[in-house]
Amino acid sequence: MRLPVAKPSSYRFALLIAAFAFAFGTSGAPAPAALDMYVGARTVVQNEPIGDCSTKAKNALNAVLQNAFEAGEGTGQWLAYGPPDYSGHANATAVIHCFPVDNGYVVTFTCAVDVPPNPDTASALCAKLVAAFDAGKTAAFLPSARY
Amino acid sequence: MRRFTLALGFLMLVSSAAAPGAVSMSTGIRYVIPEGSLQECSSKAQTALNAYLQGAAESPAGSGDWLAFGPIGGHGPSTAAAAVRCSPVDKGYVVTFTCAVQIGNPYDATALCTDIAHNFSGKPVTALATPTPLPTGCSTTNLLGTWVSNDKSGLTFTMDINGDLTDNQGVSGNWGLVGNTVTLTYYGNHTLTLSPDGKHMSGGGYDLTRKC
Repeated sequence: MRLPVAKPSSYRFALLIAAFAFAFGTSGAPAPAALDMYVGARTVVQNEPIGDCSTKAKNALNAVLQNAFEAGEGTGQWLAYGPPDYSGHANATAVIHCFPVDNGYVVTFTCAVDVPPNPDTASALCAKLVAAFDAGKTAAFLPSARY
Repeated sequence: MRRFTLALGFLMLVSSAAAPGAVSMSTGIRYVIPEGSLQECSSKAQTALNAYLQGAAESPAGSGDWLAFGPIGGHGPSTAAAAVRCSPVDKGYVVTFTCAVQIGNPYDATALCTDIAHNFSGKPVTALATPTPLPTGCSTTNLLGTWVSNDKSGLTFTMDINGDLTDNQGVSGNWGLVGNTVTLTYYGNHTLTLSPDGKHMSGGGYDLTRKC
């Protein structure tokens, strides 16, 4: 016994193809990137030399981004970019400013990202940097960290 | 140890982000003002930011941290931003300038930061670069503009700087130009020849005239 089978008309088939084409076409269109900037934490640290701030800033930037460098030797202003994409462009960057006050220093975090494609917001990036900076501080007080 | 409150004048160090990126950052301009209030710094910061960007806002209120995005008049995604951060130090304050721009902006992050800092301090500023206007006329180096078919009634194409074309019914395609050889991708590929005056192209089943 043969069951009746409904054959799709050429019109339906064309419509299906068109729908797939539209779906793939629209989903493949890149969303325009927006620049997101965030002024992160500002912390006053007492009884620590400015050199400690610079060390921790550089380490934190290298932990979260890469190739941290000081914007002018001895300025205490550290800058880094995220890993470059296929075109050699980075989509995340951050600055940590250290400046001395009294017998300590003030440190600030400022971050900028392009979203998309960067997965993190500028706020999230700054939060990671603050955590990395603080981790550096903790490590400095661990006995095992002293040689 | 140096004390910032003893600093006379200001320290100005400019460093531009050397690395290429979708985002470019500039930092390094830092003024040390021995005598002045945080409110004074904030007022100047807001004014300076709004001169080049828009919607300068303090975040959080009373913090002395100011942030603005640009471009001025822009309604789409931000392509530029700057942060001016005021920190009280003894009888004065320290103010830092940090700027970021997307690659492709007509000006770079350093130019933006320099102008904002100079606006803050009252120094002469340099006008930021503006986008290069799109070429007009019947150029032989591009196909920009509106093209009208000479043999297919009602058919027109609009071709843009990105190599995209759109016909009068919204159907899209692409154009390419090498020398005077035109490639149109529009219901298949078509090869045409651009005339020496840049006003006509024909071949591949099309005969078009540019409005210019």
